[in-house]
Amino acid sequence: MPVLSDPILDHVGVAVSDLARSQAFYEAALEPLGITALTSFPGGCALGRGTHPELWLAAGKAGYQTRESRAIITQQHVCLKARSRAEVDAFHAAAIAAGGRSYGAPGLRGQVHPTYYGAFVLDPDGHNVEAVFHGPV
Amino acid sequence: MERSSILDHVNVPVVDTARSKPFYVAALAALGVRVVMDFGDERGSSVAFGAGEIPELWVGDRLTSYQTPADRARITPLHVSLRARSRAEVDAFHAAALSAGGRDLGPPGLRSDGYPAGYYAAFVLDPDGHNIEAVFRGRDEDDIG
Repeated sequence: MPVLSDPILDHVGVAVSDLARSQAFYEAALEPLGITALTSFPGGCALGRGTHPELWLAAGKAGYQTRESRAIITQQHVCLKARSRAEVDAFHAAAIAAGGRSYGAPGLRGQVHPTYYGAFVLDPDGHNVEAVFHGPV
Repeated sequence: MERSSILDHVNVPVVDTARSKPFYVAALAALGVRVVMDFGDERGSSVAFGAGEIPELWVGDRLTSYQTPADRARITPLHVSLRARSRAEVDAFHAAALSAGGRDLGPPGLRSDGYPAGYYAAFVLDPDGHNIEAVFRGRDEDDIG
């Protein structure tokens, strides 16, 4: 397992086409990870664990975007930290039940490092959402 | 300040990795973040940044298997905020990013209007128009609050 440093990421935005649809998906998929919706704003909401909103879903056009640049949504990849392999499994099952498409069943990804245990799901806009647990069992 | 983190890693799609890499190398060096991995194949290339051994921020033009070429014809500008370890790092990030060709979207300073107290941040647009932020949420020696 690689050396883990203090995280460099504070928060990220994910462009969605239908906030209600996406919020329902993310709330269901991420609940097993202990991640819930913490705040909302016009056209968006933010999810996190505890009190820190880290994942911002936004259906509206932000000030740095143009209508043209929001006409399509470029699929992003966002990987979230699970706290156990069981949480990775539960994330995948919940996401599928909420309408996500499986993009990789829960399991070890040894090409990353020997105890990398991840699962992948495509959200309603096709974003590739992953949960990972790095530690040993 | 105790903050849990739910984010393991994210990617930022760009039109041209060769164009974007120098911008990110310069801007993120100010935050103690460096290149930890380079990856490329016939579908394009990606460069990964981190502070330790874990790649946390992937920047690349590589067409991934969950995207179609049409998905990549235009790139939706997205927002990524990175943690600085001091206000000085936020300042240095902003200066370095502008020197590397970024466009200013908000100079370093305390944010009000809905932000938590002590939220000191700067915003820059990268070569693809992605909104890249550095933020320091702690108290600083120049925090007179």
